[in-house]
Amino acid sequence: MDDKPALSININQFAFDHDKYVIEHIELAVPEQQLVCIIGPSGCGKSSFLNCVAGLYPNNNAIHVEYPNEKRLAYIFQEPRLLPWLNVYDNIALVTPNAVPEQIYQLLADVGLAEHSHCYPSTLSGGMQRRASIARAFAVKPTILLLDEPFVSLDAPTAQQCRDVLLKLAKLHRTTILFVTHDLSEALYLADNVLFLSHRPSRIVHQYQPTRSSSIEDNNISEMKVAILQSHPNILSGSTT
Amino acid sequence: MAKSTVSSAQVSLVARTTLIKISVFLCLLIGWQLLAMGLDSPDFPSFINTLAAFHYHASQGDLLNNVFITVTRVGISFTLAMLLGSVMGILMGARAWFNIITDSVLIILLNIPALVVIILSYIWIGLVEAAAITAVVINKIPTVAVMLREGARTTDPKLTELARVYNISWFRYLRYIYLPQLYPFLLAAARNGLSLIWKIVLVVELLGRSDGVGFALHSMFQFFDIAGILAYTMAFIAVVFLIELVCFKPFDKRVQRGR
Repeated sequence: MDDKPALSININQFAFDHDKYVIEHIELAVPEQQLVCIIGPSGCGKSSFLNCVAGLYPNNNAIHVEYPNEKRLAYIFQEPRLLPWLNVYDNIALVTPNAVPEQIYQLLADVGLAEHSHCYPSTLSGGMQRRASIARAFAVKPTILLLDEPFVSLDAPTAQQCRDVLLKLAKLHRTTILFVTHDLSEALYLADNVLFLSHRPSRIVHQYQPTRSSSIEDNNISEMKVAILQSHPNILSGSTT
Repeated sequence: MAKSTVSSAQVSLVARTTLIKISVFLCLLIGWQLLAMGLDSPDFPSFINTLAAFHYHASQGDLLNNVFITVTRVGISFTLAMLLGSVMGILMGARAWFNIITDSVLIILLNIPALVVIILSYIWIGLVEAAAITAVVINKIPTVAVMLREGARTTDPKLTELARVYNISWFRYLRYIYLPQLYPFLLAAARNGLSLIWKIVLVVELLGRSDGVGFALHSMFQFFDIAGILAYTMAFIAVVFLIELVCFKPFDKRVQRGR
């Protein structure tokens, strides 16, 4: 993995209209193929941060996002956002009109949905819908992938299955990932780099580079918590100033 | 792409539903026949007599021609009203400034009696086909616009975000994301619109045309030809059922898919 940034983000005093600031200041350069987890208290502006990066607030002067290389962006939202009137195959084909069917079937096989290509989202379980949304994201062969607490409402084994699918595909497609979560174990399991955000208006208050472990239970969370709490006593409640 | 299979349970359900519908229809006809036989009045012809009148008007008279003319007027008016009303409604639902400008106009149009619009159209445009179509279209546009405005207001902004993030083209967005959200509203507006347009077209024909079902009904009213009036009504109902079967039902099935 080289350290050349896949995207540079500089968000300074971002607010909705003339409201209070949501983001005080976040400046970040994400190296290619890195998986960066962003963790912070509820309502601190994590989703707004991802939306800023995704370009969902155009014409906002507070946001500066640069993609030094080719930009192919994908976003896996908190809810799968599959179109209920399209089957799984068509949901994926929608974002990649030039893809040949074999590519889509391969992606569906990668996420374990090969047998469900003709099914409508309403007939799938929550975990299957998440995997379909992962397949849709990777259908565009993303250079940058944004994820906003995508596995939050899943049971533990299903969420773990989805995480493993994500890691496998990210490695395969050499994708740079920004992953928002409030689950420390998840962040430590997935991330090359974990960023801790403060309460609103948010800013980065701490960075941590975990060593990848083989399972989510293997992460030495307690040890890390102690280390972080020594430097930022209130960080996990987000009240660090 | 893999096709979904239709189970035997689904086939049996469709067969049962169809059987129930046909049974209800037959019961209505039998009830009509028995009631007419009991009353034995020339003002209430039986189903058999109406069928005979239908056969007479279809073979000897102008029934088929008149129905064709009326259906053509309905078709043109319906298409124009749906197009203009849908565009107006979607714009009103999607753009607040357009809603502010047109809201008062919409309320006025919704509440002007159909008869006033018909009479004014004939006076201002003349007793011509264009006046008839204009009158029907003006009467129908507001109800279509109101339904589509509500539809446009309920579209999911999260799906628009999805389209923006994935760079989905404007055409594909419209076809696969935006319009499918409006289909239930379009279908309701179309069903409601067609039933209203039928009725308005008949009034328009009765008042100022020399052909069509409305004109024929007016002529038969002069001669108290009740069996003829009911025969035309039967033809009318047959056309409505045909439209429902050929147009609305398949669209309805498509709209319900996956929801």
